[in-house]
Amino acid sequence: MNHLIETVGLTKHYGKHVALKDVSIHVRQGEIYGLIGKNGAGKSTLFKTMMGLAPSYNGEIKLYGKSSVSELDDARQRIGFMMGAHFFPYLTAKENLEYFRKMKGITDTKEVDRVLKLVDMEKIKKPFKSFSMGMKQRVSIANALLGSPDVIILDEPINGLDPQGIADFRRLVQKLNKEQKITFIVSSHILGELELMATRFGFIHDGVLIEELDRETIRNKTEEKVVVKVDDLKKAIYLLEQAYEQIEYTVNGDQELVISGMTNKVDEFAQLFVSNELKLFKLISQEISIQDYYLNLISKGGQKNV
Amino acid sequence: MFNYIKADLYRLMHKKSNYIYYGVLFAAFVLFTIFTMTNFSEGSGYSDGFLQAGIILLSQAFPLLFGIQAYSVVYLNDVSSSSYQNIFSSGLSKVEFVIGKLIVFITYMFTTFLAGAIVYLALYLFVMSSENADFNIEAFKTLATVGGSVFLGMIGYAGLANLVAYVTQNTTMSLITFGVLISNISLTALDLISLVTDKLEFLRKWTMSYYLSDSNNTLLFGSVNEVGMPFKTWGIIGIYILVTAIAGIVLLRKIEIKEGK
Repeated sequence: MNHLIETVGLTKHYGKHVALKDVSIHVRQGEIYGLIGKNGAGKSTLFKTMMGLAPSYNGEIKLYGKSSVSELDDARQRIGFMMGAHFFPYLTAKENLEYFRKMKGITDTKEVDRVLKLVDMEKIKKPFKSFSMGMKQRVSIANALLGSPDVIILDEPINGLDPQGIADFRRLVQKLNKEQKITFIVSSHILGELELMATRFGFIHDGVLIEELDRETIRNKTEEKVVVKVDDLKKAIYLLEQAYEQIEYTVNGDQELVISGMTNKVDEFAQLFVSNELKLFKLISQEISIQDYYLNLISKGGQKNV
Repeated sequence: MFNYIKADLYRLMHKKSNYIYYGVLFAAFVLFTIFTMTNFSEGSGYSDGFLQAGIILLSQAFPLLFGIQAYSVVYLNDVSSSSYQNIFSSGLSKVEFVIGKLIVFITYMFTTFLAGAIVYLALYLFVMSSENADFNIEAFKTLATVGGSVFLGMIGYAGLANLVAYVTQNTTMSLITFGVLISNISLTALDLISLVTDKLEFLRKWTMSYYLSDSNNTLLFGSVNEVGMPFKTWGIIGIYILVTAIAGIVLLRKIEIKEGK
């Protein structure tokens, strides 16, 4: 078994709308897999389908290498899952988690206290209905952690968390991944956070899984860029095109010239602009972020990059 | 499945409003009994009237007061709190869920019936002793038989309403369906239609309400010894429970669990 979680050509329709198209995801043991996509890209549908909440699909789902209906139900008992924060409003956080502890057949009666402590909710005695959004998210994360499952799937887990909560959550995921070897699949549209956390990325767009890449591969693939701001943009472009035949560039919304790669030529650019009497306001080299990579990927046409 | 039953019973035991609801209801019944007894001025016949009123309350008011509450807390709390996605993503199969929920509903209903029976019996003994009347075992048999029919009927109606709950995953729709079924509105509607045309007459005998009303009305004006046990009604309700459970499993396997808001 190479992959803990795998889908093979997963396709799901809602009427004429194709929510997932031929999605083949591969999640390996011990990784933090970041699923990246905008709202409506198909992240939640993919999770729902994998977790048995959305039947009627084409293709195959393999959890721990098993794919029959009863095997999938058994396998799901070993997976922690979080999608939104929905619990019984009249029960406290502890009572809600006790409910799920009993349902999952976890015999350790201290397990609920353990997971509540992990999300810093062990002292809260109010009913769930009086919780803030962030507190509800924490309970939901705690529920996914119940019983220390092998795999934890978290759909938009940092929605509603304050900056401190987000940082705590990131540290918790990384700690559990490192110390308990728990595999995580985390989706979010806050790409900066996933970038800090994930070890591998899957990019999904309009129901199509465009690409799956390790963090290192992305680093190798992503070009660096040079950002230039001068007083005369047209002249700067003319000079660069004359001096460098293979130059690739774009102009961003701030009327800055964004040159792909060529970070080793920063000094030459400076000399070129100054010697041609251009006023230089900005000249920096930057590494492309996951966000830039994702935006670049989908702007190139999504499926063509598969 | 047993883990699920244990968990759901734990949830019901920790819902504080359950205790308040039944506490208020029983207290109101006790106060009503004491009030009517102290104002009863027609000799020593109150205990007989109490039994007769018990049968009417059991068949008419009990399903509305207890049934709707029981259905709501056992079945619809899952829908209103959008807990289906947590429940089903944990690997609980649809068969385990439907059977487990049925057992939980039966247990919950049995507990409320038992609590109601204890309150009623205690009040009856109080009324009986204050009148020096004899224990009317015959009326109690009738009461128990009507109770059995009402008990089974509520499970059957819940099974039917659940089909709506599974498809719509909407609390209001399911509760209205259960309310319509349990208050015999469907049968009343067919009765009214039969005044205009007899083309839908056959539908009456497909409804559970037809058999339930028929057997309860017969018992109300007779007794178990005179009319016998309503085995046919119980059998038909049993078929309803079985068929709706199977249909529920099939539906749950086909429908998509909605994301909570």
